[in-house]
Amino acid sequence: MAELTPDKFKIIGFSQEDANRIDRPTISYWQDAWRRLKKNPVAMASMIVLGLLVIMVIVGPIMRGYDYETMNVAEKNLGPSSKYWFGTDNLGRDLFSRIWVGARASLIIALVATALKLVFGTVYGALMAHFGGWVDEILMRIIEVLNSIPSMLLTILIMLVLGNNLFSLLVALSITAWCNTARQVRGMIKQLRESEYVYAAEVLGAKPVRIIVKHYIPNMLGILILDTATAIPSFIFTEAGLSFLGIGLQAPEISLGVLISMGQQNMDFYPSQLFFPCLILCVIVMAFNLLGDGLRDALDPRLRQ
Amino acid sequence: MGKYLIRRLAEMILTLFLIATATFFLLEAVPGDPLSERAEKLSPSVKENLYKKYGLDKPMMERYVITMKGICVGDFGESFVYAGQTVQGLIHDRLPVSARLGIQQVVLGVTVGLLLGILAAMKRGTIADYLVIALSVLLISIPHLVFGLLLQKVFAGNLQWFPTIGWPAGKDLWFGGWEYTVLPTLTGCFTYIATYARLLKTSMLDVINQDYVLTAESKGLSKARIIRKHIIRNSFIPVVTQLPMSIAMCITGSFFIESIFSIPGIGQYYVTAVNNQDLSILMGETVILAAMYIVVLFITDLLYVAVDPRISLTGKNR
Amino acid sequence: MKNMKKFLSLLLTGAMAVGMLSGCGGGDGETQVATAENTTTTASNASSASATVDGDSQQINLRAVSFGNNYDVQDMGWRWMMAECYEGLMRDVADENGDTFEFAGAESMDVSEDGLVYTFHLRQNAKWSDGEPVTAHDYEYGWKRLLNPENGYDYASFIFNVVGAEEYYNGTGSVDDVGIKAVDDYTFEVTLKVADPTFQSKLVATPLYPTRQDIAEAAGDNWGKDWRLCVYNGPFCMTDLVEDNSMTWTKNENYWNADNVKLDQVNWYCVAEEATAATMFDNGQLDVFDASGDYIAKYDQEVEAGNLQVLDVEYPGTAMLCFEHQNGGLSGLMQNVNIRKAISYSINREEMVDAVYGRYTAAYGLVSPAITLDGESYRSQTEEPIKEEYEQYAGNKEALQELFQKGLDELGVTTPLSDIKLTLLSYGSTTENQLEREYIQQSLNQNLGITVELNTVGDSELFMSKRDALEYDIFLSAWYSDYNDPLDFLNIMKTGVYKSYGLYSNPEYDAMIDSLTGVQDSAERLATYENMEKLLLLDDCACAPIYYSDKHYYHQNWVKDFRSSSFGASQELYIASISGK
Repeated sequence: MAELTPDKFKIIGFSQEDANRIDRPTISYWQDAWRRLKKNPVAMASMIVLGLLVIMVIVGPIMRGYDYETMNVAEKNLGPSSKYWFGTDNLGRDLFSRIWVGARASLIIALVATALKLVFGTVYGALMAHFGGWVDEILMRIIEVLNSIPSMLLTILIMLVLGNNLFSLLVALSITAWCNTARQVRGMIKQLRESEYVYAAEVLGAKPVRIIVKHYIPNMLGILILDTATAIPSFIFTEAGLSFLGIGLQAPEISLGVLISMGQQNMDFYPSQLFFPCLILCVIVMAFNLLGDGLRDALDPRLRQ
Repeated sequence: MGKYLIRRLAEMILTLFLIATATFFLLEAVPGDPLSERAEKLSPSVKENLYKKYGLDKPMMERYVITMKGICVGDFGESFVYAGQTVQGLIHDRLPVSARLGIQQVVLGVTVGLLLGILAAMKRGTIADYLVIALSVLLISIPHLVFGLLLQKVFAGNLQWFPTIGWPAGKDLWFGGWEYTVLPTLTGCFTYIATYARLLKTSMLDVINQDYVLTAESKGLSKARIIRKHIIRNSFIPVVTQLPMSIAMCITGSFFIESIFSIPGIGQYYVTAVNNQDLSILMGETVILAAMYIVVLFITDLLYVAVDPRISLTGKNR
Repeated sequence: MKNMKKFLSLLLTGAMAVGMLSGCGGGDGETQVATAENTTTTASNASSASATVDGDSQQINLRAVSFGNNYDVQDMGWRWMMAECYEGLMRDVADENGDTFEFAGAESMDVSEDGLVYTFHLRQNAKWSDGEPVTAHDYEYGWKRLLNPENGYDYASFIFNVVGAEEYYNGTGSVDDVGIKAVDDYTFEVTLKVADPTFQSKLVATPLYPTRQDIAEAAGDNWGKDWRLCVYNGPFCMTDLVEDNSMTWTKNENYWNADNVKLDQVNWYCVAEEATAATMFDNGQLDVFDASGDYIAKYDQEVEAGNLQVLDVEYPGTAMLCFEHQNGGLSGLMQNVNIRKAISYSINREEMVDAVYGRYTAAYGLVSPAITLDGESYRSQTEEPIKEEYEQYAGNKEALQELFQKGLDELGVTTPLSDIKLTLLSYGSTTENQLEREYIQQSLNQNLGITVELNTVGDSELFMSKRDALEYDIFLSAWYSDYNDPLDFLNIMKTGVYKSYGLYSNPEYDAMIDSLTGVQDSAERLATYENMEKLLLLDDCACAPIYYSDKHYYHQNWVKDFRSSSFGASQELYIASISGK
């Protein structure tokens, strides 16, 4: 083996700058998450599908030029055709237009209920974490009580008390759902408050606003986004379930749930009346779920490469 | 340990009391009363007697106190709508039926769900992974009522493999008459398949990225051994926490299934009682189900300790 | 049945578990699996000579949407069961030509010349299922029980025409003064205040069935609620019940006419979904299917192919749109007759019946065609009062809007039609419920240009509380008649009789009803009924009839002599049998 001697080495120079240089560009957590999300074909496909769905619920009802509530009994119960793409229902109304109106209502209900759940749950959770002590105890007990009453009973009773309308539907849907958000937020904030970087920021004299904006929010956002992605399909779903019990929207308002429950009673004879609303429901639920999965992967810092 | 148990017991009783109170006032807030139909045509004096018989003539707070006292001694009163029917009778007759249905759904759903979850986690990002997720989402996005009727039509109607409706009774109540339980169980199990497949997949992915798994890999352990010894064991913690909740909830969750297959269970009666505003029965059922739920939560906490040595009961309260 | 609500509650209400095994005159062995396949018979104890005909097992499988929970004959909670398990003085027996009332518990009846005293000579071989004879005392107890103010039975008014009855019910008279008495064990005598030709037609109604005093008093508060405490005097007795699942009736061997009852066992299955019931019917697990909607067309083809048989019958019920008469509704507009008419005539009944229900007959009168007067359908003896006027307006939007506008002008309301909002109160979640309210909503909108807001509440209790609080303009209701006389229909609109038909009140109409008291001449009654219906619907438009009810029973070819009676059991199994299954 050749012997190593000093003359075999050469000094090529040294600077402080080179030592600290970072070859790869700095990217923020969000850029990284977005980059990883883009690499996930399923999540991207879900996003595109959701985009299309949003477009369709806006333009779908007017595409065919049929009013979704005007009946035309002479053309009832038709199958899909070039005139009525998805066929017609028992009163001769265009199912294509109705489905998109219904999907719009379902989506809006789900989005509003999710927003209610997020806002209320976050504030509630933050209050619990902030005050701690007996306030925390009391607030936690309320959550426990709400969780222990079977949610079906709670929902039905609220609808009975407040009446059958959109407002009470939203209240009924979100009343049990926010508990989970509040718990998560409480846990997260408690954990963050004791974390070293928040402590460091405090020591360095960062204002509370800065801590909240720079540390609390970005750290919680991942959880909240996930919460949203899973909550939306579950709200759409619960609303559909309530429709079977005759609870929820009043005609002429319709949702996918209403359409499915009406189609179900005709399924022996006109399967298309059940098939199409179910199909759209599946697509929506699946798109949100798969996007949620993709988001979870993308937002998980431990998967960062 | 003893101190902890006492504290938890006190908390449970307090929660139960709050639940009963909340339910009572929520039921009071619903307009109308359970006797209005029966009382519609009665003369005022007879009507008064009827309301007196059921105690509805008293002011709300007095009734609240009476109800609470009743609950303390386990007396929920008689049904307003069906004379002679008590909560105890209902629980005795109907709970076993719903419990068997629920347990079968949970056992089947959780088993299949966990297997699929392992498959999806091991083959992450492959077709198998997406198929599992897509299948579970697809199957839960068809409402129970529709799915049940379809199964019924195909397997009981066209193929005649299984009976259309019915549920084992008598000595077959728990173990027997399996053919009757197949379709209802299938209808309900997909919720659990989907939930557990995704739950386990997520938690396995978490565990796979842990350092101790890497250590094990670098030690040269076989893949099967790593999965068995490290991954499965550790990723089961969330499953164990979720499981008792599923069992507690499965009992009321089968309303549509019970209705389609004419199963005389508790879910069906619950909805009927809401529609009839059968206050005493609703109150009793809610308190009993809530009590079950709370007890299950408590057991979950104990299970936590059994599964995860890092947690101790006497340590910091959650 | 009292009204739509009660009828619906029968359909909608599930019930509770009293699912224990018990027997009717002897334990019925072990029923392990309560299901459609349960042909492991409990008929072994029904050891009669007629147990088999042509070697077929004499069991029939039927469907119920839900089981009632009322075995109290005086309360008439569950007519289709009571008419099979109990029996009164007379029985509504249906054959190919329709219903006839035949003596059952009674063998003969004497009516005094002034039409006031009815003497029933009871059948001496009639027995309860526990072997005790059915005596006049059982009838006396049952009838007096009906009147007892403490029980508050709805149907007490059925026999208010009996001497002292109304006074006793209202607390002003004594039970001893009531003109109901058991002369001896087998002679039952009733004294009326005024002669009443409708009295006899009420005798088939279950509130006038006998009741065993010893049994009822032993059961106390639970009488009529717990079937295990009951004894039966009809062709069948209840032997098993699993709520929300199944119910079994077995032949009552003690029934006086048991030799002619061919079925040994009747199995009822609680099947909530029509699709499930159709599946079971297709598989032969159900023998009879009460079809509606598209199933009628489907099974009609099967009937033509000879695979099934059908029994189409008129059923004495009429559905109608009720208006709020007291304040004119939330909008205040319902007090005007032209507005009510415009609403009534905007609804194309033929189209609605076809699109929404797939059965029934469009109604332009209140009294159902199933009601007979002097043995002939009332409707065939008189015109439907609003048919002619309806046809003048039908489909003519301008005329309808003009009519509505005329009403607005009369009320001095200047709101344009497009800003008018009416509230339709309803409940119920079946497709039929949804379609009917949407159809009405759309019809009024498309024809009159007004807006109809639906207030659909969650359950019947809420519906009643909103209805009684007058929080509506219009609602849908139906009347199902209890006895065979047009009066039973027309009486619902009399002031103060029901809260549930819109609180119509017209002294002239009330006077017409009162004028019928004691009138025995059918021609005179017919003329009065005609005038009343005309006043009610054509002059006042007090309600808007929508359809006359009917029933379509499809049954398997092996079911013989299946009948439907209007005032007894809608699925009459008294003489039915199974042959060639």
